[in-house]
Amino acid sequence: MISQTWAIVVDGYRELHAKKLFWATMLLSGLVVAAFGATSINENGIGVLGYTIEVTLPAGVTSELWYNFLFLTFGTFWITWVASILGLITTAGIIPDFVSGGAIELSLSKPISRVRLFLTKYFVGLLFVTLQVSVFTVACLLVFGIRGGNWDFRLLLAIPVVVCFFSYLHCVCALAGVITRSTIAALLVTILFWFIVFLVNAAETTLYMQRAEAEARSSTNSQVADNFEALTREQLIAARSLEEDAPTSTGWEPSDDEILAANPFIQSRRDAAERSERSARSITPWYRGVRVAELTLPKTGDTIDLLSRYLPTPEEMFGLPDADDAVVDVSGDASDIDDRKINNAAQASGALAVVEAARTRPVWSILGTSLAFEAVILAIACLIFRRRDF
Amino acid sequence: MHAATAKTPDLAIDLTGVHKRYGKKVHALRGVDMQVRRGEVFGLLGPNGAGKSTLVKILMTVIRPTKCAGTVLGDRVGKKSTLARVGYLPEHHAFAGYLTGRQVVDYFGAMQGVPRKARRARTEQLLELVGMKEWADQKVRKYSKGMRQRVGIAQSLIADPELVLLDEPTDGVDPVGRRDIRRIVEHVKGEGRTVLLNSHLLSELEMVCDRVSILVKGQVATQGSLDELTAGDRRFEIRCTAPLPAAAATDLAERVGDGSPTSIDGSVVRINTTDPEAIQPVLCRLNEMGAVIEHVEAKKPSLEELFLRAVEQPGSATPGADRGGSKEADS
Repeated sequence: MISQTWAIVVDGYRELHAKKLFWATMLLSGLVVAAFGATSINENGIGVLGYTIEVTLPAGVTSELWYNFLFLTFGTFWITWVASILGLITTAGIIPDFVSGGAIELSLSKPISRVRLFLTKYFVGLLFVTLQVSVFTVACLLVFGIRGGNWDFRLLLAIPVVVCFFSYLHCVCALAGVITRSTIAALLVTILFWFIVFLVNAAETTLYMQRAEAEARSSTNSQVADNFEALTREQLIAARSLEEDAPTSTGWEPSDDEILAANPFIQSRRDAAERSERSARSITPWYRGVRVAELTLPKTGDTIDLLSRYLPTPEEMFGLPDADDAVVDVSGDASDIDDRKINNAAQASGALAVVEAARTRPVWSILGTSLAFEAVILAIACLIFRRRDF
Repeated sequence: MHAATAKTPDLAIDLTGVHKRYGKKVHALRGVDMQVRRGEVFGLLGPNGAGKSTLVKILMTVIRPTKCAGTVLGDRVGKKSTLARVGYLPEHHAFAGYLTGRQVVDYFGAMQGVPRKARRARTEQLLELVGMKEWADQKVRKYSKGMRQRVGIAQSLIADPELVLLDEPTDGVDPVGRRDIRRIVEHVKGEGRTVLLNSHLLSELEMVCDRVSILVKGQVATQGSLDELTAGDRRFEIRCTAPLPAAAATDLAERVGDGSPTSIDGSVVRINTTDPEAIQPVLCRLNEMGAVIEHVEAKKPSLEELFLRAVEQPGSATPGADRGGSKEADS
């Protein structure tokens, strides 16, 4: 049994070894790591090959944070987008070639079950990205350690995370490969699927942000209205007490109508709050629908974002919103509060809510639902492979 | 060699009523009964689309039968572990071009569960046997068709199999290569293995097969040894230098010793007998008639003639043969 599995693994390596794209990707990965190593930071800005680009970096940016920043931005972009696309192109043919006429007969005629044969072949397909990411990450670790003294071994988390991410796509590619037996079709279906996942994720994020924005706008407008109402009430009571014919200055309360009549701005804020609340309510069912779709699909973006949870980075370098921007000061007379200010704060609040939601989403939920999807797809592929006549 | 399995000690393959349907319209196999004895070279013949490759693929679990009762090496058809004792060379096989010939043989040996040490030793022996030792470390993509077939045969033998199924092993191979493959098959048979040979080259099969089965439209049209299949069609042909009068046929027929049917076709007299003594009176009579005898030959139909007859007249069972191997009844 072990000899069969090992034979398939060795054969998979030989197959990758024979592909020029494998080595081209490896070479490009080396160039990216070399480019990282060519940079450094100093008191004047960013050093590149001995030259300094004078830029103002956020306070407290150390070499460690700089290299983590490079890895989390350009590095993850490289291994999750460029290297993954190259990986898909390279590995898309593994299953279609495996099930093509002339090749599959020999494999099926051996004393090995079809399911084990298929799954072994599937996992061998992950070998490409495993090798690529391992080489890239270890090279980054060495370069960052030697150049910046940043021996942060948490960087190695990129290996399982990216392999996991790639496996979500690879399982779809395998299923399409079994069904169509065509490399091109498998590749196109996978890229289409990736695009759909991206769209659903983007829709979920957008709707979540829009709803958070609407809720923040509603809340701020309500607070402003309440604040103005209290202020106006006080002003009316004070004005009443100054009137000569007032029966008494104590215990008198202006009615709501009197308050609203005295300050029309209150009503306009209340209307705005209600509009925003209606907007939030109308978004909710759409959000729930998209969320269900997102839950059933693999979390490609969230999986990669897991890396940023464990690697310390200066947040301002990523242009993350400031929590202070999301708060509108409604104290005092708040005479300078207008729609523009409330909208800006709501937008910042929405963006923060998205960041917060992404950070607080449980790891088991991200990986669990994604791997469950992968398991279902693989089960379907195995079933088809097991029952098909070749 | 391996010990024979107790259940069917004399049969390597014993099939009864193998059916294969593709959807509702295509009925590729319509109840095939076939018995292959241990240690023999068995030829599987049939026109294109007869179901030969389908049958072989069912034996190798590449295709699932719609209905099948039978055994391979004593185990039920489809049992995966049995395949460790079966070698297979599929038709139109495609080995990965990035592998060398040696790696191909070694890889499939590993897939059959052969331990590494035994695999290495046996790979060398087999590459030698198929005449590929010199090119064993070249990539398969550089091989000619014949070289690929040789490597294919080597990989089919890597697990020291009791049964070897070769589907069109001489396809695309030149005459010298065909002769070499024929010798390899004879060598394999000499080692006591059973060989099931599926080929279009009838002359090749005729030279190496002990028994054959002819599949026509998904059914066994006839099955048996060449002697059994040709028993009813053996005859003597006497060729004269000049045409004989048709009226002489009756005269000559009366002189045949065993009373076998006799006919005249131009200058050729055909006597359907296998007994040489029976034709001596005919030869005397021809001499008396002044005919000059040019050639006397004991004829039997070639495999090609049997094949064509089975294909063109599928209902005609050949005397001496059966339509389902050793079993008497046809399903």
